[in-house]
Amino acid sequence: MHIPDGFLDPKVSAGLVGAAAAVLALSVAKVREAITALKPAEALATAGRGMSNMVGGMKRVLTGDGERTIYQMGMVAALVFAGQMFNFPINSGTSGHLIGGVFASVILGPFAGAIVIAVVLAVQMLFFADGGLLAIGANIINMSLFGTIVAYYIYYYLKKYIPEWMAILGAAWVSVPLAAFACALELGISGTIPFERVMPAMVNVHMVIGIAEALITLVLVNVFRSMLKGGE
Amino acid sequence: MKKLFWVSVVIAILAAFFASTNPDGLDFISEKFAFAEKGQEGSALMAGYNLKFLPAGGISTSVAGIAGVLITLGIFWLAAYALKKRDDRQSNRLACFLILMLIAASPVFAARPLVTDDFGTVDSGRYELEVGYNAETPKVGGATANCAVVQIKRGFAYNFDFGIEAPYATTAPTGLGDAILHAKLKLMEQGENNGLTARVDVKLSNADSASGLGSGYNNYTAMVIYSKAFGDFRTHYNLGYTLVGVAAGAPEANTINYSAAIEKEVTGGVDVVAEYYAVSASAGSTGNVQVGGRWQAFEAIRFDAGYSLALNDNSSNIVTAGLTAEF
Repeated sequence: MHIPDGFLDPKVSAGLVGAAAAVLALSVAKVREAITALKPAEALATAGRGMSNMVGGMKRVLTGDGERTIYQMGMVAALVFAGQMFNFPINSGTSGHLIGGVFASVILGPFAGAIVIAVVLAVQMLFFADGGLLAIGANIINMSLFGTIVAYYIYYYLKKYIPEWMAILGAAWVSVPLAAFACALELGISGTIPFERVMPAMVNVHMVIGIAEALITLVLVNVFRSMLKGGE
Repeated sequence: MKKLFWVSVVIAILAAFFASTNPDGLDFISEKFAFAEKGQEGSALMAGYNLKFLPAGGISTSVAGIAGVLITLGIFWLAAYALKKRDDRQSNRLACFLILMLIAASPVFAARPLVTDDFGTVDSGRYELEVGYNAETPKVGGATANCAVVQIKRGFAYNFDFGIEAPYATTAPTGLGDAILHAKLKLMEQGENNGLTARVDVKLSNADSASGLGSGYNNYTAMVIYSKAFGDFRTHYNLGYTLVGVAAGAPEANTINYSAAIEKEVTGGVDVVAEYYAVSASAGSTGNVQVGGRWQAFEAIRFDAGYSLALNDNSSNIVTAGLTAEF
């Protein structure tokens, strides 16, 4: 579902780069709040250098848990990157691959998950020419915003009514056609192909891909949790 | 945690050998509804999850996949490191390296009128603005093309600057050309005139390629710059490799760029410069020799002019004039 350059109108691409930047800025702010703590500046003066942002006599410093969170984000990103390489065949000459948004957000929370997916997309675009340079905004909106943040809240509300494993399956399944719907919308607005033609086709194919996404996500979440429990 | 790393490596290797090669959902739809040909093939170090020097397939994709796993992991590892020791110079250098890695030469961004770059970077927090005008006449056939170039760079650390260059063609087809992003990291410095610097440029595909402006593809360049002074003579040497974006199926057009320049101050504020620069490509190599001068008219403003002589039939004779402002 990585959109290459050329599929989208430049104005649409540019607008989505702006939107993606806003989503990432919000996510970074949220994660930063979670992984740092305010400490009095005087205490730090003796402790030496820390993070230099002063907040009214207080300094923001990275906590030990925060550091672990970043390493976990890296691990999830590596798993998602490898997982996205694995195209599995589905019906009639098509294949699908993991998005990993629900996996990342169930493990890390929606905002850290969104950053992880965005970093994976950036690495794929810059080093592997997978997804276009100008289309990076669209790809982040589709997979980081819809496939991760929005899908996480679906998981979050489902979890209140059904067992967690079912919520994971449901949210992971929905995340794929959801991202595909957003992708179809962008193609439609760009005038590449009429929305009413491309949308049903995109959503249908990705409802099938979503089944694999759901199963892989459930396995990955359990593997990740059990391996974390088994020590660092 | 360590186990999970090996899990991702194993998945990447398995993917290299066993992943389906069928088009994915979006590719499938784009073929079905016949808009696949609108897509542009990007260029990148490991485009298509293959290494350029290995035959495409299992082994090549495995290595590319493991590299990808290490890069993604490395980005977060470096972020944690940089956040932990934010004031540390070492982590600044690492952060800059990270930015360089993330942005992945074309012969631009040198001290005008030279094409050859020197090892210096713009001082931290300072800006450098260059405005130039070029008239290019192909040696064999073709009309003169005129082009105005504006470029701005900012120093972000004592050893790192970042800039953007935008060319504007004033002869048909007129309009904005492909912009170039550039990042430069000083690796080694011995005094004012000797040092080693790495530079990375990305040529964007923002221009309207249908009307003949820009190539329609991104290019990525990595280059090393070495400067050394011999008495009053300052010399600079560049060597770079450019991944040139081409249409799917078109022959590879990557280039090797190399150049050498010599500068000498003749009287206060007046430099005479000369250089040789060449681009080696399978499609046709070019070579030029340029002579020119610079005049530091004010403390912050420098004027320059140069004439570049085409050495072979693929190159163009170029007249250039411009100014550089520092603030």
